[in-house]
Amino acid sequence: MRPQKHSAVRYGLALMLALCSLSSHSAEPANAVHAALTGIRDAALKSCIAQHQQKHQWRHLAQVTQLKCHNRGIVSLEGLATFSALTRASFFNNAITHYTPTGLSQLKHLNLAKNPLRSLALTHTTLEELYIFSTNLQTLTLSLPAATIVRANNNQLTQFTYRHLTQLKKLYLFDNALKALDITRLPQLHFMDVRQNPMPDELYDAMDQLPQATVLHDGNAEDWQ
Amino acid sequence: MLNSIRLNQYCHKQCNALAFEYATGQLRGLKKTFFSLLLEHSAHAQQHVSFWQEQLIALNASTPELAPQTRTWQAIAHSTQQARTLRPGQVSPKYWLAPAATGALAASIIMALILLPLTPAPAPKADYFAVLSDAQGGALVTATSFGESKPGQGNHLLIDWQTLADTSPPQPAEGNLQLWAKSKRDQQVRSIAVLDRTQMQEDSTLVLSPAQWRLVTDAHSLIITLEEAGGSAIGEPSERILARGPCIRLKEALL
Repeated sequence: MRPQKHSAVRYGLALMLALCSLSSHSAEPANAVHAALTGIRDAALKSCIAQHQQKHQWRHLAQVTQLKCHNRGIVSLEGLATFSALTRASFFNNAITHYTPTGLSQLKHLNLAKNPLRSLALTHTTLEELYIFSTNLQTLTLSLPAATIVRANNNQLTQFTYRHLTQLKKLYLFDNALKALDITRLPQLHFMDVRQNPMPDELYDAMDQLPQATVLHDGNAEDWQ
Repeated sequence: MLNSIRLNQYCHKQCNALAFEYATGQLRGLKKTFFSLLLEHSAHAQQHVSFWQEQLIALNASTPELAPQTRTWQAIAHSTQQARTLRPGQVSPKYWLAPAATGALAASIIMALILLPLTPAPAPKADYFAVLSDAQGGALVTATSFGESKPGQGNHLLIDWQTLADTSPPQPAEGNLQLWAKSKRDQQVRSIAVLDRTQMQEDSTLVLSPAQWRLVTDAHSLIITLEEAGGSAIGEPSERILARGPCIRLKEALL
């Protein structure tokens, strides 16, 4: 009799777990990823997500945590915000000219390198890594309190402003057109490359005073000839 | 400084062919520049050239001297005698020699002006030079950079896959090769360029922006990796390294 009791309890628990699992996704349709795809207008982006969905058998939005869509000719990221569980999103070497998704509240890694962006204003409380090199960026505004690395080299930046970069450790700005840069609010910075920017000597002097930071600039670059 | 032991390893079978062309004066342009550099630092290259020079000298020494025939000498003596004695009515050479010489000189100048552009230009002067080898130490590719020799001409980098190793550059079905510079200063590796299909020919020239040129001038070594299409997505080289090698500044190396 005892074994029968145990198995009844086991089945009961399994049933409860299954019901819980169903109820957690009760707000989503049978295949929420499929439904979310209808909100994606860019055919190349839709195709990329659909391929990932098929490969990973995604059914629920909570499963979509990483997305890598490189070299796809994606022009727009409209509709991406639906995938709110994304922690890594990489759109390297596409044709994206604007980035404005909101709602990606768990994003930690964002790659928009080699896209023809001209201006970018980015606010993310969770983002740790930002790759935006080799774009056409001219203005950049960041508020990324969790960011530790920003690679924004090989752009045409004339203006770079920020509100919160308190955790930033590495900043790559090589080969831009910056004449000024606020270096007074980067308490965790320990490496910065600002060579190949038309900055004044006074700024280089101030950079040399940064504690615990290695700064490569044209004032101390031995390779400059 | 160039490592002569490593350079000797680079002197593969192509080296012998280059040495032959060098010894016979057929080597031209960038190949001549490259081989001249190699010759200064590679004992093997020097041996190859010495070998061919001795072979060519020996050819000359082994050619038997032939005594001229008697009638040849007589013909020469007869013609010189004729020139010395003027017969009556003959015009002295002093009357026609000067105008003829002037005409010949003018013709020579015109010919020189016509032919000068057709002669090969002297080899451009290289600034930086790297021999990149694969994981087994076999030389694959040379990269030679040339500074702005003429205003507006720009800096450029010649990537040559065939001079040292008789192979064609790899043609990945997917992805691109990417050229990187490892900094002398901070040891970080930075991208110089993503090589497109046209730049993966037997030799190709990259025109360098000031920023790219700067990476070359600061390079401790150059690296070529295989990356996904468009290059590395994170701005760092992958582990698929095809070739790497030290980069040297020639002015310093040749001092």
